[in-house]
Amino acid sequence: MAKPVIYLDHAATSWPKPPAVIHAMIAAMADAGGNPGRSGHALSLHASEVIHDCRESLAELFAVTDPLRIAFTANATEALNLAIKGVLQPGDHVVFTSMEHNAVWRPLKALEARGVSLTMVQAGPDGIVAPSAMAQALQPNTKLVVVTHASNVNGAINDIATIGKLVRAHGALFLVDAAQTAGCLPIAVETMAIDLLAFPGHKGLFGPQGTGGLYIRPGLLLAPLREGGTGSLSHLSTMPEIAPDRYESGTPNTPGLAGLQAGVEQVLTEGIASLRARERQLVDQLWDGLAAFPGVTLHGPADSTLRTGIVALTVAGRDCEELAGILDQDFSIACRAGLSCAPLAHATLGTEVTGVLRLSLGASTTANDVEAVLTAFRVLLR
Amino acid sequence: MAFASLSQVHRVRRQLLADGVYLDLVRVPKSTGLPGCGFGVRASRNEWGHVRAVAEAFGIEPAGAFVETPNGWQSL
Repeated sequence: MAKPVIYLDHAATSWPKPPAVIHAMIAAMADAGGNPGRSGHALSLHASEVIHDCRESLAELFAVTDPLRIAFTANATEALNLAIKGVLQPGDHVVFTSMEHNAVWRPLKALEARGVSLTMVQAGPDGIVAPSAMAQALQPNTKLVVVTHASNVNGAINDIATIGKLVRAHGALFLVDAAQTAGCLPIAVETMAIDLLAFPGHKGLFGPQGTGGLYIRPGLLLAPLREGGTGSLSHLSTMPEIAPDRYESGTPNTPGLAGLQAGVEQVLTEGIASLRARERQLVDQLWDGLAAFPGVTLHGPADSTLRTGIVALTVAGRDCEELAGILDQDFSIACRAGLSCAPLAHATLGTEVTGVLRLSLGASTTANDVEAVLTAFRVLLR
Repeated sequence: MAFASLSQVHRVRRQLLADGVYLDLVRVPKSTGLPGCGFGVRASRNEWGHVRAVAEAFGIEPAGAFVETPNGWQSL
């Protein structure tokens, strides 16, 4: 019999999913099999209600007043593309940080080739960007500021509430990449002055892969990423302006959103403060244990209040990807190694050549899992 | 009372429910000339004002009001 997996790759996707998520998806497939918002029969209407339930739960989680301002996407990457390409025009200026994922960096570079100018603000060596540095980078034509709430490489958390106030005072739009924090850290879009919030469904929100979304502040009208059928205002040859229809053409992922809704409800029931307290206890245990090994360098803020459930490390004289392979094959420990789709962040941390070994904890992680990792390192590094 | 999108119908209907008013979700045929999604809530004349007030509080403009007659739905 195969050894049970010690899953420490929650920053890539959370696993295992709560049983309620799986059950909700099965129920949606069995009982809500119609195409939502298209036909008028009961199965179709049921499906549309399942999706609306998900919007309402997310609105509660992110303190969004109007659930219709949440547009569903396939993942956080699509949400970021919708926000970035829906806002920026040639001649606009955008400010971003040196800790951004390729989901931000690549769309911005594509737009730079079409006349959008970019300013990258350098984060500190721990991966945290100073709000004052963001403010200094703002220009009269700055249209958008993009900041990752927390790094996917080392978990460093940015002070988005302070940055949001500075951006709003300047009159630019503030886009937050919550890929690593949705469901893990408190987010309140209105009090944090967030105009656009991109989030995945399949990480801290416990939903299935293929789900995500973008919160769009009331009054903002973005260019849609795609055009097509919405089930509304079908006589028009142009996309309707009403949200969320404008951004959701095509048949949605009803089973996925049913699962996401169940996941969000689990977060709301357990409470982010409770989930976060438990995660911090375990991540401190892991950080302190790994720090004791000679040759191990930990990358990121030592204070776990400034980090998510990620521990990023390098080991002198050892290749990260080789270590990840041994952890997988010999110890059944699932983790990630390499650049994690964030070369800018690695350049900031000084790990662009080596990459890092990334151990990311989540709601299913136990103290025994952490102890098993430390035991594996004792064997690996003896 | 019909709306431009089904999401709007759900939004209004959920608020009405929170207010203690349950209204059926109903399909309004496009033959009425309705420009919206073809869905709305079935409301009595006494309830129209409440429905409109909830919608407008959310910044939602109803797509139209219709009445079901022996000859089918007709715009009011």
